[in-house]
Amino acid sequence: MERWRFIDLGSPEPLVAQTFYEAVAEALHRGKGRSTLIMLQPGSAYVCLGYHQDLEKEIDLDYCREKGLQVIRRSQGGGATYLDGDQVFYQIIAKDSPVVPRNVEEMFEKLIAVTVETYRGLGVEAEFKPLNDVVVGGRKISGNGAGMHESTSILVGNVILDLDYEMMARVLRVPDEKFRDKMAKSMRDWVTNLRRELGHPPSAETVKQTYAAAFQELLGVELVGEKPTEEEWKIFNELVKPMHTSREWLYMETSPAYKREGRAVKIAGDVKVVEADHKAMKLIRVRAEVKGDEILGIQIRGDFFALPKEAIATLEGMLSGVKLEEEAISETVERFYKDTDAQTPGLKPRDYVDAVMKIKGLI
Amino acid sequence: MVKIDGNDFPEDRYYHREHMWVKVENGKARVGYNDWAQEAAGKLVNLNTRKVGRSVNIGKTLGTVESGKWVGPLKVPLSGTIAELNDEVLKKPSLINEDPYGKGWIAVIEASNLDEELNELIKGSDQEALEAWLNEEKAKHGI
Repeated sequence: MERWRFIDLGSPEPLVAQTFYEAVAEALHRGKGRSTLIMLQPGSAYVCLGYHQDLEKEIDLDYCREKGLQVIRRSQGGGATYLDGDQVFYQIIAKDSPVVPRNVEEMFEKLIAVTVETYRGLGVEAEFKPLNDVVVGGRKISGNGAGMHESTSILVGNVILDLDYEMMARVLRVPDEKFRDKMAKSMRDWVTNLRRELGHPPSAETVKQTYAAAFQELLGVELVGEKPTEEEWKIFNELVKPMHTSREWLYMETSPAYKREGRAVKIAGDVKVVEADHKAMKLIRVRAEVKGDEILGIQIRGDFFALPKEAIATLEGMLSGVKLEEEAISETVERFYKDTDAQTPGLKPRDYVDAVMKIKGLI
Repeated sequence: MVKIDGNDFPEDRYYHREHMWVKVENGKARVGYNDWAQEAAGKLVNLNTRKVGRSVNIGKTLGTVESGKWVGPLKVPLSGTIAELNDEVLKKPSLINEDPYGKGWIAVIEASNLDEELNELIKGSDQEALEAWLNEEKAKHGI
């Protein structure tokens, strides 16, 4: 049976909560120590950006400054999120361990099974949803990200005791407040937490114990409680902290694949809220909530006229539930013109199809 | 074409142990991410690299890739200077999944120590060595 270290970091400051595991990974890479499970609750609220994201595009920095919220770019992927003490983090750092597959899909499935078991142990009917989600009644209840640091594999995730939906939506940069409202509503629809499921959340201590027990049972390892080593604190203070607090790291230039017009925010799983502008003779602004490539709801605005004035609402209704495929969208838009005799001076059916299809380029 | 457990390893390349391939073209090295690694990572959505003109050392960081919520490193398979980057792949990293040895190439490196460093890489024609290396990789992760 493999012996792993178990480190309970308590409620440390955000930078330690979010990045100390990188020091553990570096020490492990250097050949010191064993594979490790860290658990903690953030000591205060902060905002966390995905590794490849554009800081200024994603985060409302003025608001974060005003509220004294630290912004940290993590070394893992995924999207920007608001984190606070109502979450319990688990951070798995492994090297050459048969417990942690290199294949990313397999790694998520194997390690997230521990999270699922933890929720079940706490009385919630959780399920694993590939690639990396845990859901209860279709709603996401745990976020997980993974990566590699040199010779080590890393998976980090959380058990959500409670969630401040308003703040989740507030810290992100959005085109306008309507987009924010849509996003907040979508988060409520698709993300849940233990308080909502159970009426009252368990204590963080109970969560940690339940998780550690499931970890040992499902992965067949023995956890041995330890403290971080001096070497790990040294690496944290000399390498990890200076890097994460540097302007260069925080404002890192993003990859070209990310530089797209419009705005897309991932809510949970394959649900996203997206907005795109299409410039034809007039401007058409399309905002949609999508699940995979299906339109759940859509709003079409712009500086165009439509007659009768209710016509666009009809089009929006007709597009709900339609797949984001050229043919399906085109067929719906043509049916709309035929059924309603709508007039859209300066704009052709094709323009609306192009505008809606722009959404697809953002998901 | 050599196939190992369903993944392609063309014979005309060299392979760095950190999952990069190298193709020597007129003294320069075209490099990319191998088929096994792209499959293990899943559909790639982001790619960031050092810039053209940067000098890079074998085994150090060339860049990062992201698939879904996984971020992994891209290592430099040969020392030298980055002469060219594949703009198409930077814009659409999933080209690496679709065609890892063709359209999915990542960079061209003006190698500074080509002959010596090629000896450190695994030759695509040496199937035995490739298999031994991949088996080692798998054993590490209990596959």
